[in-house]
Amino acid sequence: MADLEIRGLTKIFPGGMRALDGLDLQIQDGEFFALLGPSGCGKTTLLRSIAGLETPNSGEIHIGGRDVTRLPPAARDVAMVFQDYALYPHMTVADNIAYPLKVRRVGRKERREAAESVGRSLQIQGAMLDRRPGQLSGGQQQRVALARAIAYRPHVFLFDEPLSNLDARLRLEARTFLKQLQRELGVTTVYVTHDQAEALALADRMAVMDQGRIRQLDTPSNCFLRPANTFVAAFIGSTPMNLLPATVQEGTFEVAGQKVMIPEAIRAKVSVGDTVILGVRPEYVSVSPTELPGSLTGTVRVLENLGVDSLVTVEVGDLRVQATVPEERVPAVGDRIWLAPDQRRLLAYRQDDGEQVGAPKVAQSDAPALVPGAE
Amino acid sequence: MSSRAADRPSPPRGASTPPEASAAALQTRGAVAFLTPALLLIGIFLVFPALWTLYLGITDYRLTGIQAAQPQVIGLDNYASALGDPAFANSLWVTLLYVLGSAVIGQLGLGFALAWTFRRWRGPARNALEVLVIAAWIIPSSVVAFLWIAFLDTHNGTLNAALGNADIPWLFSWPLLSIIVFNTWRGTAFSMLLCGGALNTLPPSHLETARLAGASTWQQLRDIVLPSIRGHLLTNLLLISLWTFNDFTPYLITAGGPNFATDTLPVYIFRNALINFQLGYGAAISAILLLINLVIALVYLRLLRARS
Repeated sequence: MADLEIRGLTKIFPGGMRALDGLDLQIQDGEFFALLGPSGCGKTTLLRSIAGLETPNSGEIHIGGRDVTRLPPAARDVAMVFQDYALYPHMTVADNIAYPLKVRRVGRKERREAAESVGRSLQIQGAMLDRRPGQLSGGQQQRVALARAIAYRPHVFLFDEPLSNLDARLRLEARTFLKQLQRELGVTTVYVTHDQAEALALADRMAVMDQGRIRQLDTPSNCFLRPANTFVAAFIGSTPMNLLPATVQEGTFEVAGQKVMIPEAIRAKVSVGDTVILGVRPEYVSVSPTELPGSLTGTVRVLENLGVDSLVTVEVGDLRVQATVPEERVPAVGDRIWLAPDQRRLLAYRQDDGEQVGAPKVAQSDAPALVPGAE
Repeated sequence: MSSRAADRPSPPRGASTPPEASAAALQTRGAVAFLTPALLLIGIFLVFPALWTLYLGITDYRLTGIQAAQPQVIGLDNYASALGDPAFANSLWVTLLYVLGSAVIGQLGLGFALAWTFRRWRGPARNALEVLVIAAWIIPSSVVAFLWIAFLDTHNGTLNAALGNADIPWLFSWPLLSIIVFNTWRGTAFSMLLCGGALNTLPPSHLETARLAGASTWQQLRDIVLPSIRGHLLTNLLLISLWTFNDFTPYLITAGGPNFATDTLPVYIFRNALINFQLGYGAAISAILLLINLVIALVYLRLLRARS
């Protein structure tokens, strides 16, 4: 069991691609930590650097207080589960699970016992132990890969998108299983994913990464409710957050020629004439067929059924605003409706760097701010 | 739906062949027409000579004399005299050493070692390496044979010059070793390319998992790499064994000598059939060579199948 500390980690690939850019991160002992971001954001490079499979150009990695930056992978006491599971097709399931022990010259009998005992906790038992990985289902293969990582008894688990090769339903089951397993084992876990729902569901804390930097480091609920910037706001959430250009006027935001009240919490952080980007999740926009005070009005253009709710896309001036409505209140396409953002959930971002209003300016911000389109 | 389909009037019977049947007939005729030239060529240049060799093997056919005009069928006499001939036994032994040394150990060993060592090389350096190795493989036999005679010459050879005018008679003192090294040099390219391709099929995560577990390079090779590419290696071994078994190039360097030290089976056949004019006897040995090749192929196929 160990905590993990990363200081000023930079990795530049041959050709000049800056995969990690002076990254700092602290992960507590026993924490389930998710690294989330689009492809190419550096999350996998960070994970592989922790494992020792990539050599950083500068910076330090400490595991359990020990500087492991220059140590080979085997000396770091970490176990990694790959997206493709990396099971050896010519070995039986039991041999696969116990392979790390074979490398350490543990005897055949002890290896078998270890494979059986770890396998039992993951429902890999009986005849399954003597099969080849090719004879197992995707979900079973995934559990064998987990069992091999556990049999190694590492200080840190490193997961590289371990659920992405499973089909949607199995992925949900495996997710619950994985979270429970991590709780029981209490091993520090770093989990890389590009699936925001997975990160929200699994992690104690998460880092949202973009272009080799961490854009937000927080709990899943804070990342969801209070995204630090427009990048995180656009990346997290199964329905994308509404990001609407607005100008600040006396007591109100002007959005597409209409007025929205400035929430109490934001009022002191903006001044008249500022241009901002308003962010509000479709889940926090209430919809009404009659006029509401301080609301936007427009015409329903698209209806999408999400199951319990429907997603309504409304044309407000030349902007498009989305809201979710429960099944009994779904309007018809072409209806004129009123949209009221929840005052407690309305966020405002600076136009220039995309960070929240009132947040300190990021000094080295050459990352382009995400400017929402008219959608 | 189905009832409506049943209501449809059935096509008149026997009026004409249904269109599908005639299309199939046309396809068959087309296939035969396309295949015939190839089958004819194979028949004339491969099947007929093979059968003809088998026939010659049971005759006393010679290049000159009465037996050239009227060869007699002598049954298995040729085979009996081959098995009783110590020169044949010597030749078989030399061939086995040649195949084992230059194909199995030399080409496969060196080819795999090169492929493994340079597996991460990309770009111009890798291209240069491949050109160098493949050059040995694609230059005509007669040319490389002359190059090696020049290389190994006792008084003016490049190798002896490099060793400081050592005047070592390589082809005389170590004739078999010389042609084994020669054939290793010549044929490694194929094994290197095949092993390189096989190593590329290995997912990087397999070796990374082993590295994380602390496996040494030797353990990675033994536990993961070699079992994973076993099929490629066996196929490669089958091909290079057969090629080396039938290889005639050493004759261009040593002419089977000195004192039959490099008298491989193809050279033995050449000597008996075309120098001693015993075409019938040569044909019989060719049939034995064919049989040995067949056995080698069967052994490898067995090993390949043992995988699953």
